[in-house]
Amino acid sequence: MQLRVPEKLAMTLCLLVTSLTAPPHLSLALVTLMLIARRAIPGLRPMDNPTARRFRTVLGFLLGGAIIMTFLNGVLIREGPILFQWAGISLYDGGIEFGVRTGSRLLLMTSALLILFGSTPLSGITTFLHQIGVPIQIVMTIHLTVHFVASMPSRIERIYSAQEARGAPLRAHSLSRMFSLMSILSPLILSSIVESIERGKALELRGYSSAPRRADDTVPFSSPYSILTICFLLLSIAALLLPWLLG
Amino acid sequence: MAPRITIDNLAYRYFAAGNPVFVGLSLEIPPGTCCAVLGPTGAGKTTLLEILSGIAGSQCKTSVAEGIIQIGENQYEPIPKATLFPGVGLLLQDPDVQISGIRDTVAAEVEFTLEQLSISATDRQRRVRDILADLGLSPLSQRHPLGVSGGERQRIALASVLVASPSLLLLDEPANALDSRSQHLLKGILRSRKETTTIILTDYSIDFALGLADMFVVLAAGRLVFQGTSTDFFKALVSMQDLLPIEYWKLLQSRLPKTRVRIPL
Amino acid sequence: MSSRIRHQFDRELDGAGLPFVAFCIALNLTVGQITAALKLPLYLDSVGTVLAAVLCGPLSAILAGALSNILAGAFGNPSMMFFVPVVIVIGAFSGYLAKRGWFRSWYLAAAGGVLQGVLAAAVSAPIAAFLFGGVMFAGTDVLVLYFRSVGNTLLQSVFYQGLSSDPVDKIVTYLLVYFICRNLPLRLLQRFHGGNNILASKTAQ
Repeated sequence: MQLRVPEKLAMTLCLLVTSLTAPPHLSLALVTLMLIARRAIPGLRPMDNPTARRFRTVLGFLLGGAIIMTFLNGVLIREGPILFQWAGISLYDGGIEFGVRTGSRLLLMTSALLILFGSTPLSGITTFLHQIGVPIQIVMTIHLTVHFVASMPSRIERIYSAQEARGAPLRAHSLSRMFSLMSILSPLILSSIVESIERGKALELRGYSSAPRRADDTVPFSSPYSILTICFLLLSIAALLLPWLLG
Repeated sequence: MAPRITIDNLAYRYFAAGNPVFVGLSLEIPPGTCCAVLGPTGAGKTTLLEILSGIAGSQCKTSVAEGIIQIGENQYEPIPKATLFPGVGLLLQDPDVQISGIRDTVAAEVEFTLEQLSISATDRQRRVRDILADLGLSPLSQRHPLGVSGGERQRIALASVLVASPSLLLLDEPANALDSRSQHLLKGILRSRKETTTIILTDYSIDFALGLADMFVVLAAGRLVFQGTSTDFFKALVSMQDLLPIEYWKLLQSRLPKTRVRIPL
Repeated sequence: MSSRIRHQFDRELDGAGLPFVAFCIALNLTVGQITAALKLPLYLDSVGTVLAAVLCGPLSAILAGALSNILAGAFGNPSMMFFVPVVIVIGAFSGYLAKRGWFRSWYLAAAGGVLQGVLAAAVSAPIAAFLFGGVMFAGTDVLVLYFRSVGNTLLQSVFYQGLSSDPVDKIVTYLLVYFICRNLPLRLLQRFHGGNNILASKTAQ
């Protein structure tokens, strides 16, 4: 099943809302379901290998962190009966329950967002945003940011090397290093201001103006996938009512 | 139709209390001419192009200007206050800045210019295909615009300007960092446009403009030092010695065609 | 968007504004590289937001902050997305202070940083507490656990943890932006909508 951007966004919203209201076992069940869907549904598969690796790394880190934090919560939040005691360390039911609830919520939220951004190119999301009337400036800012982020590390490295070569105290004690921050940020920001002025000129020379533009085409309502979007949105509302539904 | 450009007694400064960039500059460029504007660094070459494109009036709100500029049938007193897109196109010195960075392919990058003109998608794509074919960029149409060579990026930047079919084309040091093959290619592209477009290009050292420009203008410290054909330019070079910085004058002199006698100092 | 807000938004992003806001977002996302290289225990992840507030205006700062967190969430840590309300407050408050001239002297900028830090801690505490249970998988989680173990509520614990780091981080951020903008040439400042925030002090000098 091919999922388009609006369907994926609605699905992610549904999962985020559910994570806030669902009990831990439901959240963990949904995480498992998402992991299966990620492999089974082509529209949810990662775009490339680095994205798939990032998904595994972040989720693995979160899972490990959730287990550790659950343990620490169980030790330090002394609420409810003691569940386990060993060598003077007591695990309290209230703390464990809090840790499990928080951990499962984080896992569901994170896996929903990772699957969305891992399976959808940024250009697809920005095109959709533009189609639904998000100001063109915001869409262009996102694209330009991605362009700048790609070149920033090398610019920072060049400035760092140049400042080090002229004797800036980049490896001295912390107060000197604090002042050295200026010697790196200042040329970086100054050169970026000059570049921004030139880029602003280039955009305006090509007819770009800040006047609002109408979207060229809209998501057709009669498309069957729009029904799916509405279903996910309705499920989001149902998720908000979950605590009452479950009593 | 290619416009006539008339500049009448232009005076310009960035701030009221700042140094003047132009002082009493008067110039006439006939329609369909390729005019090369030469001059040392700080002569005002880039500023002249920015004034003619309208970007100077649009973005530099504290500037002070006097005089009259006429571009075709439109008269501006003193200077255009908004960019004159699409009638006027300006190719900036740095193609990496001109390429917006907001599109993933060469074709989409060039199409971005036309998206500002409310042209139908079909017409846009046709014009993009045509301009890419004209500039020999068709094989690169699906490549990332910044993932190509310097000469190709310059041509992509030029395509993004030409796709709007400007009648006045301004080029700021277009041969900068281009190898001789790319320069030759660029000259061919500009020659093919001369009948329908008035072209004004800046060049530091005359190399690129030779064999292309019909008219030469030399600026120094915001003043007009010379205006005329290339033949008149080489004859007048001696008289310009006191009006130009000596290093720049020697540079121009070194570019004299070899068939002519070098004038000793 | 109301027409007045839209008009202000268009003016702030006119000319060099839009590319500069994009740069500010990129700076927020990559400044960690600089602090890591200098081994400084600071985040400074809103230096771009404050810069946008001073040179462009409050709406640009809100945009810079919001997109910084959204893109950081999309390509790094997804939990950053939930703190968008915090960075919106940071952007709006910095823009307000910039308009009022708090970036025209270093002591006002430092005072602004203190206020900003307290405000950021106060706005982020409910999000961190109720959405994440105070757990952000950072070293500071231990502080939250400590404050809870001595009898504070979850909300209080997260707020106290925020107070221990945010004001210092924001003072450094504000002072950096003050010193950088103070040294910018006039001809560059006048290209930005918010440049007047600095220009007035320069021309007065």
